[in-house]
Amino acid sequence: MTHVLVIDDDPSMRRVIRLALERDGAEVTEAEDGQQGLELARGGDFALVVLDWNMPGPAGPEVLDELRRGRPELPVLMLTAELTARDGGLALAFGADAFLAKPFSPAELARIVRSLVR
Amino acid sequence: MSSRDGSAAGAELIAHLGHELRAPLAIVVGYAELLQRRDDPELREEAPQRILEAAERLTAAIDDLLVVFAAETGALTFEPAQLSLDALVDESVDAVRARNGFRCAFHVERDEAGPVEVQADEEHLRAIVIHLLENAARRSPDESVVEVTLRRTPLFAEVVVADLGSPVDVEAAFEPARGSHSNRGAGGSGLELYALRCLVELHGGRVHAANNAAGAVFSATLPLAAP
Repeated sequence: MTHVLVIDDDPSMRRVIRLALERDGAEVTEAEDGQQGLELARGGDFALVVLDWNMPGPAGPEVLDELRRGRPELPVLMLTAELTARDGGLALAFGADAFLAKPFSPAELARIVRSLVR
Repeated sequence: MSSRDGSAAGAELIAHLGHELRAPLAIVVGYAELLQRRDDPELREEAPQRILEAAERLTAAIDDLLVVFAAETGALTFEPAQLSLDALVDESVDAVRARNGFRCAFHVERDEAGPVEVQADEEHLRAIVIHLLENAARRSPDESVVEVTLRRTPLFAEVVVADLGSPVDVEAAFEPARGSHSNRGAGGSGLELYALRCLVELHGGRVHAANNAAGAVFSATLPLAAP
């Protein structure tokens, strides 16, 4: 079973992501901020990380940078809620494997996760 | 502020606007699509409440954005009147408690010289007090008692709200793109502290944030009514 780490400070957003991915057969672990996400990523056997771009504390880009240092092979899907796709492009420049702009289709999220862990 | 500073601030605000609207919209869209594709009693039970909460966030974001844009374009108007700060705080405490499901209580410490009268626009004053109280309610754990103090200084009335939340970045607390992460996911628009600042400054008052041993303290000053 694909084990996915979801790092997002919005509990309702984490819930939507969990429902979408569990429906697709994945196991989901949630982190409510970047710090907790990094701690979980260090110790957990995750196949992929879903990471929010805009969070308090260490934000998405900082978390991504840390993940790349410790777990360079771990695929990261960045979620952005900015008005333009600029941050999506930045997410890829920072080293994310894919990005998805909010609002997104849960089915599309599940499809991207499947393609990244294949 | 130079035009470059102004356009940078505008760009930051627009980016923030995108975030504050798209994040709750993602929850609405997510639940709607999941409901459409899946017949799950647990999902059917939880989705309406989550969608309503997201819709409240969108409404709050739009209201705050209207205040911010009106303030920044000089279109925010006000009709000052002599108002009882004590009465408005009492009324707002009841409204906020009802809205947040009585999750936390408010203890109001009044000025020892008696009820405080301010010179303010009634609608704006109500928004200022509600923003302060809701911010504290969102930041505090369930069953908390938020301390609200009303007092006079020589020139101003002051509303001080002490919560039991995590420490805040006091320099950025009232900035549009930084101060409000702690409010997200709990009904906050993310712009409410900036909108609060706009409303307070319109009255010639000031906002302030600080940390103490128990949590954070947010306060606003407003002009006292003439005696």
